[in-house]
This record gives sequence, C-alpha cells and structure tokens, in this order.
Amino acid sequence: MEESKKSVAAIIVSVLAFIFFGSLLAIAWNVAQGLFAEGGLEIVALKNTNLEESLLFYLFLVGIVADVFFSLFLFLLLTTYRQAGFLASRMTRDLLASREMFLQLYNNSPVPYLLISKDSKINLPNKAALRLFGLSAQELEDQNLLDFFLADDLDHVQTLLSRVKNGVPFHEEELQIVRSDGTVRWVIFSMFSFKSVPGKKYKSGLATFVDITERKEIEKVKTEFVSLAAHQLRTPLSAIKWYTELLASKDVGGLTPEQEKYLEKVYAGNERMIDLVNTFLNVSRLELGTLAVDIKPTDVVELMESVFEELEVQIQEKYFKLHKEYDENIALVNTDPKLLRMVFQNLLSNAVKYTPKGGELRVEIKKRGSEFHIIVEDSGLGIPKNQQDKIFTKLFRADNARALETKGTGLGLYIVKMIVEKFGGSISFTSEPNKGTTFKAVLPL
Amino acid sequence: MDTKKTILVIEDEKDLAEVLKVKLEDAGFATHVAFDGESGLEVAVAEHPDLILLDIVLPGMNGVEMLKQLRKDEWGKNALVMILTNSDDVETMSQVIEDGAYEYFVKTEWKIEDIISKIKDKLNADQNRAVWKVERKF
Repeated sequence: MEESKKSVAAIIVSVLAFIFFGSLLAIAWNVAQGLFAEGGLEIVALKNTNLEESLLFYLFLVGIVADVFFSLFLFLLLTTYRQAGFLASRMTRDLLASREMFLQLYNNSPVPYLLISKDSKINLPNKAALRLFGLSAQELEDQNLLDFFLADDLDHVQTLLSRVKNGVPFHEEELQIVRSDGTVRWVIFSMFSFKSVPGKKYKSGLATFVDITERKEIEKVKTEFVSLAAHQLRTPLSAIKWYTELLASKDVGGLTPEQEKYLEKVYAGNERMIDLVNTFLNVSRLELGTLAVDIKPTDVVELMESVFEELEVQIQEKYFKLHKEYDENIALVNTDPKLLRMVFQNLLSNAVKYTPKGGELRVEIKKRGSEFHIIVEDSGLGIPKNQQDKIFTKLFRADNARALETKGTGLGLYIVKMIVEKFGGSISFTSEPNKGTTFKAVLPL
Repeated sequence: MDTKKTILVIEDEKDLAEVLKVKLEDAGFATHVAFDGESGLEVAVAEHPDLILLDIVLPGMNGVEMLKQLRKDEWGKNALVMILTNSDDVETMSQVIEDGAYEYFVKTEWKIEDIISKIKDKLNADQNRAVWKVERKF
C-alpha cells in the first residue's frame, strides 16, 4: 500500500516536472519568437520560413525531447531512490530479525553453548550452560573453562583446546565436568573455532556440552546387571563342572563308552558357557573401569607363543602356513600380561577361525621407537567393505563371519579395542573381502 | 601313625560342598564342612584343620570377614587358607591376600582334581620343610 502510494507520487512528480518544464519551454519559445517577430509577443504558427524561425523550431523540438527525457530521468531517479530505500529498510529489518532469531536460538537452545576465547575464558554462556554449570551469567562469564574439568582430564582437555586453536575441531569427547555445587556430570564436549568473523578481532571457538549423565547411569546399571548375572551363573556352572568331573572320574561307578562320550559333550558345553560368562564379566569390568591393570615386565614374544600353543590344535587342523617375525631387540615390555593376552587371543583366534584350510597366518612383533607394534595378518574371509566401520562395535559381527560360524559373541574386537586404548595405544586394520585382514595394534613400550 | 590330613570346607552352596567333600575324602583327606562364616570359624578354632578352603560369598559373616577374625586367633593367625570362590573382584582379592590367604581360585576355572593336587603340593611342601627344620635342629 505504502509502496504503490510512493509509485503514484513519483509519477505525479515526473508529470508535473514535464508540464512545468514544457510550459517554461513554451514561454521561452514565445519570447524568442516575439524577439524576431515584428508584432512583439504573440502566439505564432509556422507561417514564416526564414532561417531564424526554422532554427528556433528545431530548438523547440530538441527542447521538448529534452523535457521528455528529463521527466523520464526524474521518474527513474525517484523510483530507484524509492526502491533503494525500500531495499535498505527491508535488509535492515531482516538482519535484525535474523540476529534476534540467532540470539533466541543460542540462548534458548537445550544444548549448552559457550564461546571460548583464545586464553580459554568463557564468554556468552547460554541458559542451558548456566543450568549445566549451576552458575549465573555473571558468575560464569570470564571464568577459565579448564577450572571445570577433573584434574585427571586436564592434559587431555588442553590438547583438545590447542587443537581448536590450530583450526582443528573436535567432536564427541566424553568427559566429566564439575558443577558449582561439586557434583560431577558426564558430558559430550565438542568445539570448533570461528573462521575470521568480519568485524570481530578476537578469535574464539564455540563449545557445546551435551549432558549424558543419565545415559551413563543407565549404561552402568546395565553393565552391573550383566556382571551380577554372570557372577550368579558361576555357581550352577561350577556345580555342573564338578559333578560332571565326578561322574567322569568313575569314582561313583563305571560308565559305558557312549555315556562317557555324552558326558564329555556336557562338560564341553559347560566350559563354553563358562567362557561366555568370563567374557561378559571382562566386558563389564572394562566398561565399569573395575578391571585392575597390573603392569609388570612381560616377555611379549613368550606371551604370543603361549597363545599359539593354546590354538595349536585348530592351527594344525587347518594346515596353515605360519610366518612369525619377532624383533630380536624386543626385551621385556611393561604391560599387563593378562590383558595383553586377551588382545593376542582374540586377534589370533579370529584369524584362525575365519581363514580357510591351507591359508596363511603372519604374526609380527616389532619395536619402533617408544612403541611396539603387533601385526596379525591372515588370508581369510576379510571384512565386507560396508561393515568395516562397525567392526569394533560391541556385539557386532560381520555377515560373512556370522554365515560361517554361528558361535561368537561379537565382543572379541570390542574387548581388544578397549584394552588397547586402556594401554594408551591404538588399533587399526586393512581388509579385502576374500583376500584377508591385517590388524595392527600400536602400544607404548 | 599316619594320621589323615584334615580339610575344612566353608561353602554355603550345599551341592558344591558335597562334591568337594566326596572328592577330598576319595583323595584321602578327612573333612569338616561348614555352611557359613560363623560356624566355619568355630570349627576352625576347635578342630585346627591342616587347610581351610574358604568361599567368599557366605550368609552372615562373609569369607573376607571370617579370615580377618581367624587371624586374631592364636592358632588361626598361621592357618593355611585357600580361597575357592566365584567372586574375583580386585578389591576382595587384594584384601584376602593381605590377610594371608595363599591361593585364590575361581571355582569355574578349576577342576576339583587340580585343586586337590594343589592342596597336596602345598601340604607336602610344608611337611618337608617341617621335617627339614627338625633335621637341622639335631
């Protein structure tokens, strides 16, 4: 409505200008004519055709054209001016609206946001952040972010922050923060730095915290339940084990060969169940962090060899070609032999299980600087490309592994990864379906 | 006179206590069985067995507590105690080892026969050492 009024106004102004300048022109023409005509000032038609009059006539025509163009120019100028004003006001309004929207989103987001300056100071905490930390905006502003983490995590957090300063963001770091009342919350901490915001001199990053305390508590209860159930299962498993042993020892009367054979199956089934229970207990201990790490000087080559011995029967059944490469200069390593054994057992038994007869196994232990590398390579099934990212996930089993062997919990590699990370190392693999898989664990010496 | 060595089994699961008793007696040991910590402690102090097989999870006084009490007794402070349990958490283990239990077995991981040979090894070793000590005296 406003706009159309302005358009009409522009037209009216232009037309008025046209008439005004047209009239001026007419008067000027008449005056000029009068100067040449004998009868002084009078409206004259084109009756005389002398040179002066012709020239005047052309001048008059040029005048009219100029008037038309001038009015048109005026009209266009007015319209453009009007549109520019309109555009500017609309942009200003949009900018204010978007700023308002951003602020409302930022302030009312259920996810705690904080701007973190270069020297780790907190700026502009949003409402969720205030709730999370249990402080008011004034109290939280300008505090050092590092003061809210546990002492044990400080080194790690500092590494993360320096990474952000160098422009590398991080996501999904599970950490604990201490609230103002001293209670501790589990959070997923992510952060990225702003890439040169125009007009902002300081360089800062946006930190987000997602409170996962409840999830952690549920996980803990679940794990504790598994642990309790596994412990409870051990009593009847012991009874089956010992009574089967009693029957098999023939102390309580002889058995027929058939009975003996079946009793062996009962015993073997029970042993498998005991293994499962032990695996569940180990997983829950690793998850709850109640597994004591007992570091002592360990001969890792000897440890690997003892795992080979355990698997000797299976290896011989499959006629594997074995390649063992142990670095000679690898002396005793400070590690937990029980846990490292689990790593070796899982990697090696997987290689044996999922490699067909006549295949190849290569095991390498080598020292590299302050680390030692364990490489277990097989020429087996391989891991399907589209499932490779899930291979360390708890309870996950690749389709081809499941098809070949129905036994298996999907906990082996999960345990391996947890132990390797507990040692401060890392594990990676390369795999080609139907050609084989190579696992490589890198551990500190 | 060759007297039988005596083993005290403290185990609340009656089925497990029974099979242990049967196998131990077959192996030539005399046995006492107690189903909880209190009565186990009483039997131990009264009978002075050569070795105690002690469970951890027991009604009333548990194995950790029973061992602590036993160590307060004049005879009990040097009694041979072997833990035979299904709870293998680190805290319990370090506690009973601190209180002088010399072995810690998880039931599901051991055949009774292997437990018995461990017991025999221990008792024979101790006996030999005793004999050796006696010989040295004269």
